[in-house]
Amino acid sequence: MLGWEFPPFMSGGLATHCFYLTRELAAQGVEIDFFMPKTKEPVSVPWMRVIQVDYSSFNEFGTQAEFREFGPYYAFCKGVNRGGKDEAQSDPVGRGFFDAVRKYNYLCAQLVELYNSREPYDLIHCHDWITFQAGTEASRACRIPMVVTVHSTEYDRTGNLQPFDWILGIERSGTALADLVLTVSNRMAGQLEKRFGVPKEKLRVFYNAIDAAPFDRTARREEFGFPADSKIVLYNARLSIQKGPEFFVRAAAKVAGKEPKARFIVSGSGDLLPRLTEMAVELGIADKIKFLGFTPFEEVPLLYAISDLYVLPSVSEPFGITVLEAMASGTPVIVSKTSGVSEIVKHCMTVDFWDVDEMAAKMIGVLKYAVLHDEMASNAKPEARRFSWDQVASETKWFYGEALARGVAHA
Amino acid sequence: MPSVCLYFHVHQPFRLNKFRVFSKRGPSLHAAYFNDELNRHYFQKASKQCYLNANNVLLNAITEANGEFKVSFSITGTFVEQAKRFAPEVLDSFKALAETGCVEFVAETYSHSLASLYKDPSEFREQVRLHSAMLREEFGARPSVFRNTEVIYSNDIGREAASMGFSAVLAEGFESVLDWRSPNYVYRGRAGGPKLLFRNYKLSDDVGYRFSARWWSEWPLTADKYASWLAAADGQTVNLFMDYETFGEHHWPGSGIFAFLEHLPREARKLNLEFLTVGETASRYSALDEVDVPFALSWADLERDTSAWLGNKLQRACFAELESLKPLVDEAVKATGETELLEVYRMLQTSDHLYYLCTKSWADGDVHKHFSPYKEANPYENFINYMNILQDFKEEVKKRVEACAVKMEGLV
Repeated sequence: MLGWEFPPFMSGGLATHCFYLTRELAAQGVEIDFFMPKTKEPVSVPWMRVIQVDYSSFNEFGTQAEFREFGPYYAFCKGVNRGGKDEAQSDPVGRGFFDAVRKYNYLCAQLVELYNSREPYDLIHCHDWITFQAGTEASRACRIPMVVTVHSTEYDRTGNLQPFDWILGIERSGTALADLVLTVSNRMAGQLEKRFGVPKEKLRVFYNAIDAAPFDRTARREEFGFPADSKIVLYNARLSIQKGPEFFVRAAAKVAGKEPKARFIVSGSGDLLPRLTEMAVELGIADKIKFLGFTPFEEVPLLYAISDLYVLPSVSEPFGITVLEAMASGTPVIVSKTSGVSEIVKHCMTVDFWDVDEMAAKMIGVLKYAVLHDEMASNAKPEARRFSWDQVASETKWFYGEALARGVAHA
Repeated sequence: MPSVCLYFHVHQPFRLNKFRVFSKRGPSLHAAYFNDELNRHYFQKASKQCYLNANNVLLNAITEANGEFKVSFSITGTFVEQAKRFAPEVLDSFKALAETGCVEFVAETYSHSLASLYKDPSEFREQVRLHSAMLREEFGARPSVFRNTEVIYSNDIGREAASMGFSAVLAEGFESVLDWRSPNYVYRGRAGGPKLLFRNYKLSDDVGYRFSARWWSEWPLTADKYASWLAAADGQTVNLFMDYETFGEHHWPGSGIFAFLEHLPREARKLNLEFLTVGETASRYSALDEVDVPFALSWADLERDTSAWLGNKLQRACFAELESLKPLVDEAVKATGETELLEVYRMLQTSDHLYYLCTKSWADGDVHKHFSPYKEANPYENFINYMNILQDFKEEVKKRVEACAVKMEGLV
């Protein structure tokens, strides 16, 4: 399996997904080598071998990584992919994010081949564009099927504004060359079909899950500097256009006008932070809204515990695991209609992300009517617990079987 | 061979407007709370698909049978008000049926409410009286049989109906109360209760629910086959109670439901089946046994209890709000003489509003959702809307009482 991040090194849902998926797959008898970039501290888990890719990874094979172009399918990205051999080897981290991705991919592809020559793999499973090039190269070289999981696309991440063609290209060819394309909602499957032309018969939908255990915490509002009788509305996502934090802040201002006890937490970091703090001041709610920055994984349950309501106003949300987390914590949820999770979760409210008035009206409803809060909370808890990683893993294992059968058919 | 008692329930609620906390409303409470555009849409659609066609089929059948085909109707007050506003021809066609003398009208609460479950029975009594007065005025009818909203029945409700002079009450023929007894006999409520007519839910649902179900082994259901089942039934009477919207709405015209309705009286008479109205059924047969119904029984959902309207906290909170509004509204009407407050109060009590807050099995996409006019909304959103309206109404009632008190002081 080719990944990019893994706990404790993580920025989002991809790491969580890989962590639980591999754990449960291993429990179901699937043997996994997990490839990921080298991190400051080595990553290690008991259920699989984690191979952290950099130049030193080649030492045990008595060979060196050689620079080569991806192709022929990635020929069109040559313009960007212009680093030479010397530069690559003298600069292992790469210049910036794109270089790091590119180098990780070509090192990873070669390393998979080497490991495969020692003990052959049956199948390659890649997560998101960030691993697609390596997966494609390795699957071709090793002559084994490739399954890719699309957790989000460049269109989602940029909120449809100015997506990078380079990344779109990788996503398009990765999904085109994969034997099966897994994704996290019908909404995403539809987009992959429409935007990348992935044929329907190759698309498989599964829904993400949560490990509910950490979300049974209790906490007091005072510990976070809020009055005990305040009513807290939480935002917990990256501060990027994709997640719609501006709509949250604008709705918060409307709520504050009607509910004097309402307070707001914005948890998450991102490039919109300065703009959002300015907005809060302009709208006159600077004293009612707290910007916490990035909240580490183990502290997130406390945020849900003190919150009366969780709002995820994403412009484009492939799935939205945090909705399940909030629900598992017994925190009522308002989520945008343009989210994968709203396809299957019933005990929450949905809203158009741009309809700030409606969002505010619903927020007020939950804060104002205690029975609504309680009814949503008590129905949400068991509903969120229905989504287990064990289930995701058994579906994934089933898809592996399908991909192997298809791979045989190709050969 | 049993006689056949065909009874149809006719109802349309006043559907609610979208009412946000930010909403600014004009002087008319009705216009603020109720969505008459939506009401007109649903009423006219149902009129076209169901009421006019079905009434026409029944009128022809009655004429053809020369008095040997009879039906019973319960028609809610909210239905009649909407008919007057949105489709007067529908009201006329019901009046034409009434004039045949082969149609009996059944009493119920005026606004299809759950007032029978309030602690104080006064609102319930007033609504039933109001409804009976409406039946007399519109159809010249004097109802002798009572059916409560959604066929909700219990010993207490039976006693209440008997004290209001009704000789019989309709109830759901459910095993939980009938045990081994057949629904096809007339029974009596406990301790001097009224006579009880129990719905034969299997034979009723064959038409009301399964008629167009292709998975059903008896599909397609023809009138002669169904009539033969009725003729083969045991007991005194087969009580077939169903929503009138069965014809043309629940089963669309292309399913053959109107042809079925047209042919059924003919096929039944071929087999010498006799049709009786609810009142005739109750007076013809003496009660066989006493049936104890300590807890409210209804014809809704699998549970046949009140959980479709009062199953969760949201529903119970709104219900409590409605119940507590009664003395306030009475005071306001007395003080101000504004009967609009009472009219709005009654329309807000229609049980449909509570039905759309049901979270019970709605996660599996069941009938609650299917019948909901608020397509995009789920029970939580419906709750916010309904509760916002109830709160706004409460404030408005209080305001008017206070304004009136100030005026009185000024006069003194």
